[in-house]
Amino acid sequence: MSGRQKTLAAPAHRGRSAGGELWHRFKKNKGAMLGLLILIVLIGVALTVDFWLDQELVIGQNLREKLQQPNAKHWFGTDEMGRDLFWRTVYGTRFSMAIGFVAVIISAIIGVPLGAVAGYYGGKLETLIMRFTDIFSAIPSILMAIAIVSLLGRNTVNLMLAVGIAAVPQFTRVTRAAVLTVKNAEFVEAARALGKTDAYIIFVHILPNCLSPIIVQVTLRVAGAIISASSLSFLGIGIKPPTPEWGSLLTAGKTYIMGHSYLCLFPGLAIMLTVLAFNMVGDGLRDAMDPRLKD
Amino acid sequence: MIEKRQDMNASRAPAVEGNILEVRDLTVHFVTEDETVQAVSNISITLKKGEILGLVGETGAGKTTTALAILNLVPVPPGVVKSGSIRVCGKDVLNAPVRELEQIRGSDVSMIFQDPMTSLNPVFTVGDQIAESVMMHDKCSKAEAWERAEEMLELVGIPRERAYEYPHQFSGGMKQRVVIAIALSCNPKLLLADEPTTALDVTIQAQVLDLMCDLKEKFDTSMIFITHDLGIIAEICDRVAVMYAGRIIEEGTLEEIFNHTKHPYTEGLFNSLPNIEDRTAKLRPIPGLMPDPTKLPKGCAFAPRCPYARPECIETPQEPKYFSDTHFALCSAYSEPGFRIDREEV
Amino acid sequence: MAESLLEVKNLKKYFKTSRGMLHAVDDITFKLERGKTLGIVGESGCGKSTTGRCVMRLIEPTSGEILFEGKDLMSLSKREMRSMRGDIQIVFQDPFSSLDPRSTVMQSIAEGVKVTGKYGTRQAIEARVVELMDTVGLAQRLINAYPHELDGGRRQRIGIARALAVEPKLSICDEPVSALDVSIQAQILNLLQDLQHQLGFSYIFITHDLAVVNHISDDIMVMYLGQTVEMAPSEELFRAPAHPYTKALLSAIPIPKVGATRDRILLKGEISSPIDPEDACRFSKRCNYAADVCHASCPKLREIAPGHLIACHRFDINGMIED
Repeated sequence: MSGRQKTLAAPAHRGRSAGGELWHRFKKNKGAMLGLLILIVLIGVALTVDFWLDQELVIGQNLREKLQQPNAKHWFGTDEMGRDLFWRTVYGTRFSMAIGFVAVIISAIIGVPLGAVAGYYGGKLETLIMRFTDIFSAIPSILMAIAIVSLLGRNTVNLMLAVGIAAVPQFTRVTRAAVLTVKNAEFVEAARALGKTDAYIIFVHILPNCLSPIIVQVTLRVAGAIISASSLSFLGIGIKPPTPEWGSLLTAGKTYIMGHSYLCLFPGLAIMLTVLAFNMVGDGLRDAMDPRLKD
Repeated sequence: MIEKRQDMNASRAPAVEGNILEVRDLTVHFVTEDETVQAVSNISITLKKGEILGLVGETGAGKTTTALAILNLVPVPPGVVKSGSIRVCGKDVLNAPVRELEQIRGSDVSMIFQDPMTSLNPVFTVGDQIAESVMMHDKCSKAEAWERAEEMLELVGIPRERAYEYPHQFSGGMKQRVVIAIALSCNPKLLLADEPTTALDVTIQAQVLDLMCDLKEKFDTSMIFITHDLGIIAEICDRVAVMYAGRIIEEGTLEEIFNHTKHPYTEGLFNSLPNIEDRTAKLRPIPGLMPDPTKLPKGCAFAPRCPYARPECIETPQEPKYFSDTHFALCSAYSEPGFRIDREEV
Repeated sequence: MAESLLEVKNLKKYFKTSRGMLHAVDDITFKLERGKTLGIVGESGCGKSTTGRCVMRLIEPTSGEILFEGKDLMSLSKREMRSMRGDIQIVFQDPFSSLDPRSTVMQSIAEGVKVTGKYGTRQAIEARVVELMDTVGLAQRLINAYPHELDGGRRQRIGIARALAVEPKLSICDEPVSALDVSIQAQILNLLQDLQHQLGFSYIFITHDLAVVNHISDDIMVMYLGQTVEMAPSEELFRAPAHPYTKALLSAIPIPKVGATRDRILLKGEISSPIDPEDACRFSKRCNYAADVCHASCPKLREIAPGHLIACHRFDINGMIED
């Protein structure tokens, strides 16, 4: 059997770098490409919106035009202060994206090393870390985030921290599992035979080879973080209302939901679209990185 | 010589009575959107009743693909049988309907894979697995199938009580015996053994080879034995076909291949082996590497590594050169009178 | 007599399992002289790889002494051991998993070069890597290639170059050719022998392939279930094997010659469990010569000819004791 598998497997790699091969497989996934396109637009908007969007459009009140249905001038309609919902939603991209990415980076920074240490050393240390992780993940993450925000105080940084910390267990688990599959490889033993230190081995040899599941986890988790942050804002413990974060747009809109449902519809759609895009890209990446999963 | 060749072709043309297997001009490619792997090119194999043919070659030579094609098990896609015909006991395997194919697999041909660890299903007892294979091909009751399963186990040297045990309770050698028992349970006329002892230790390998020889005597089964170990070939095969880059580059009786080696690649294989009787002898490896299976030349794929190669070798396709009724090599060096290979000292 | 490079005394490695203590390596003693090759042969699970890794403390031995150039490695701290790594290197079996898939050829070999501490600058390191690639027969154009772009033989050469880079005195080769095709296997074996002649270092060559071990080793140690059953110079071992297990092992090698089948000694049964073995000859259950004494106590190694040691109760200078 092995002979056949080798002849089959070999050509897939020839003449392409690992990244090129990944891109080649990713490209074939239409959903993932669509997701990627949406993400590029959203991230582009988030990074540049400050430069081209007039602040006045976002926070300037105009009570004469309040609560208008969507029309040619105000594509998404206006809110109770007469602010244009379209521009507010566009501007909100900036907050949602920033919170999503920063929160995930926080959880990865804490979770990945913990998982790596647990997986690499094993034994009592592993038991300790993993049991702690289990306890941690037994608490619903939204409750955890609420607790953290109430403890630290209500502002954007703390919101990011809260959402980030609540997602640490997933990163610890994924990293530990990936490290376990790599740590017994002979190249790790070879590095030990060369007298390399444990830290060198973990960071130079093991973690780079665990990147694929971690990257997939990051993309999927950003979506989760955006939802968590929006939920917290919706519950009134996230970003304060005048700032057009999508969750707080929803909260503001819910008062008028009976007569002016568009106030909730559009921010909700924005959240949905972003989360969907991240999930499609994450799934696409996972399939591209591990073609065996598809069979 | 030429006359003789035509004779041979003539005798091959009709389906000869008594030939268990006839593969003619088989070509199998693996096609992906980027490239085409020429796994097997123009292979012809004939096997008589009770004969054991050894198929030798290195990784990627196309041995396993050939065996899978005989069972019509080449994975499609990416596998494509480009041309050729395969007849097992006169039945056309490549064009058989699914139902007939299932009948052929198992009762006419069965296969033993390299890795005994993965060819058994861990959730059924070994008895169940043998009985299942019996019941699929012989219409018989469950009790009869079990009886037969236990007989088969005894035949391969495992006490019949162990039929109630699960695969994980067996060691590697024992599992391979079970796999052999399953393969033989329907009394196939042709057995394809794909490196059946490679995963086993030498002493266990000796036991399994011994068993296979006994069974062959008892049932007169024809066999294609795929291996890279020339030692095993010498021990159990009647005829040998050497494969390189998808082609059979030399074929003959055991004696012809081992004592009158004609193809430079076969010579290279022998020279690469450490000689157990003379430990100081320097190994003479074949230089270079296997060719890229997606970019095979029109002519001889071995030419870039061949010490006797001439420029035209790689460009013009080789015609088989027959040295006897049974012995041929795909090598154009023999068009030059007086060319010989020096490994004929034995 | 040449000075011993390595002396291993009463090396033991037990693993704790849920069913009891697994005696992976049980009281192994051997010596290796400078510039020589010791072959360790045995079937899967006999503890040969564990022995190799214990010698360089990649696996921590349970007890025993490992004298390397007279210095006891067992007494060194983790940090001191790390600095000793330069003297002992290992070449692995599987050329597919022994290289970091994300490191280029350059990076893999440079890792070894840096350990020596002799090459400070980037240029010096790169020059040394090129030199090493040349030594092991790798084309220079492959310097930035990744392992997945290369075939097994070339990868194995990278593994050897990485081990060489450290300029070791002893190299442990754990089945370095068993994953390779015969024609490539011969290339690598020749390379290993040439390197030994040029650079004069010693090998511990671990394999299950008897033809290979005979070809490359000066002395051979045959292991069975964690113990040495026979040790002798290669020529002597193949000419006059004394232990019943060695005899069976040798007779089981298929020889690539027509009509070369010798009287094969078929062993009954399979290797027994290494967990909490009884005090008996480990081979006694499969041995054709086993007698009561074999089941009663574990035989000690004894010298039956100069340099030829065997652990068997039933062996007598005139042959096996028949009942």
